[in-house]
Order: sequence, then structure tokens, then C-alpha cells
Amino acid sequence: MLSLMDATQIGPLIEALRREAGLTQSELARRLATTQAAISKIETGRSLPSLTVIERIARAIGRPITITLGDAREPLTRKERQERLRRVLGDYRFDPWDRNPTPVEQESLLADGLTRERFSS
Amino acid sequence: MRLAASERRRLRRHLLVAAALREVLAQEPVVVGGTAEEYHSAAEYHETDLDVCAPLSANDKVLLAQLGFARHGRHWFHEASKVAVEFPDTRIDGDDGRVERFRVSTGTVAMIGLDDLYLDRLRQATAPFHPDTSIEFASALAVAAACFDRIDRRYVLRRIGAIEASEPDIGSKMRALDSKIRRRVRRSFVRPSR
Repeated sequence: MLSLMDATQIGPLIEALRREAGLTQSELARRLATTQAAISKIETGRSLPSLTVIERIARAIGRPITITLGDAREPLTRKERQERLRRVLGDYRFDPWDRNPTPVEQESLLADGLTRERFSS
Repeated sequence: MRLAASERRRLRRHLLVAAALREVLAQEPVVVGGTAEEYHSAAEYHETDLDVCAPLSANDKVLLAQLGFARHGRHWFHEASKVAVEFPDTRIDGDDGRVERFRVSTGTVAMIGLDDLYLDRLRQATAPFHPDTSIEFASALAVAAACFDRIDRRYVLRRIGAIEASEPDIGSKMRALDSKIRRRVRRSFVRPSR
């Protein structure tokens, strides 16, 4: 299923679906009787595909694409957001001590057990 | 404030303080900064203080003191809850219409909207000498990653365009960082999860 709140986001989602289908841009282009450059333009948001083209893409990759237009900005759960963070940030950890906390900020951090040592390992 | 003092979870404690401030200050305080980042992205940002935008009148300062806040440099520190509050600006840099309001316990919190928070994080990320490895860059990346499909791209690009017109250097850096962040988020989402 494809859910979007902004038409400019369709390109990256088509790219994701194409990759999941194991197709290169050239292979998808061949199935659609178009050029690799045209697919690249769609995926990078430089060209907005019509509904007819989206339907043809869905057939070409062998799975339906459901589009929700309008405000589909339902927030993800905390767990879902954290999973996304893990995928993008990897092992990166925010260290509050890197932000040169003032004495009262230090007191606040320490009260919650957020010691300097906890982040230095 | 008593509720805040007994709350163990840091983010919720900050939100309770923000709700209490909203009850007493003459103008509605809007939460920005690290607390807003942790709220919107669910990242373990470990904010060091609670940043809220509101003008502080002389009467507001008296009320803050009565609530148990004491002035320490740029912060108002509440000893019982160990929350340091900073008022970095009188109003948010963004669209008041996008401010989100939600209930916390018996109070209400006003929080900067997601799109303006992302723009703020992008702007902050233009400052470091090595932007790609900075905390500020990681912050903008975290917001984009957690809320990729909720960020209003047209609004973000329109605001960046306006900044480019008034502050060309900062605006163009923000545009470049935004592109880089979106590419990185897209790449991560396309890659199979480990």
C-alpha cells in the first residue's frame, strides 16, 4: 500500500516498490516501454506521474499501489518511529554533555541519572 | 508543578512543566527545541532544558518565582522538579497555525509544529563547521527519519525559499542539507532492515 500526503513523495515510494520487486530502473522502463531517464525523473520527484502511469507501474512491478490523497499524516507509534531512527541513525547516540550544559542543566541531567560516564562508553 | 516534581519520566516532566507555565503566563508558551524534538521524533535526545517561546512580562517573572523558579543565567530553574526552563524567543520562528496542542494530565501543552521544528533543526545544522557529523545534523536527520511522510514538503520548501531570499547563505545551506537528509533517509528505508 502506498499512502502519501504530498504528491512529491510518490517518487521515493515508487523507487522503494521497484527495488522490492527486484527491478532496475532500466528493467522497469522496458516493461513500461519508456526510458530509464523517465523512471529516474519520476523517482527523484522531477516528474509527477499521472494516475494512468502509476497504474501501469503497479502492473509492471506486479503489485497494487494504493494512493491516499489529502492529509494522511497520522503519526506513527513511538516504537515505529524508533525503528525508523535505528535504520537511519544506526548506533548514533545523542550525548547531552556534548551540548555544554550549564550548571543547572547539569544538575537536571544528573538528577535523572544521565551522567557523563553513561555516555562516554 | 507538584505533579511535575513527582514525575520520573523526563520528557513527560518537561511537558507537565510546560502545561503549568501555560496556565500562569500571560501569553501561551510554545515548546520548541530538544523537548519538541524528542516529542515529535521519539529520539532519545536527552534534552538538557525545556525551551519555550513566550514573552515574559514583569508580572510573569513574579509568577515564575511564586511557582518556585529561580533565575540562573539564561535559565529559570525549578528546584523541586529539576527542570531548567529557557525562553529563547518571544514567539516561534514559523506558523502559529501549525502549533499542536494536546492534553497532559489536567493541562494543555502547546508544541511547535513538526514542519517548523524540522526547519529549525535544519537551520541549526547550518552553523557547525562540519555539519555532516554534528549533533545538529543528527537532530535534523532524526526528525526527518521519524516523520518522513508527515513533513509538509511544500511548506518546508516554501520557507527555505523565503530564507534564501532574505539570508542567501543560510537558505542555500538549508536546501543542501535538506536534500542530503532526504537522500539519506530514503536510502535507509529502501535498504532491507537488518
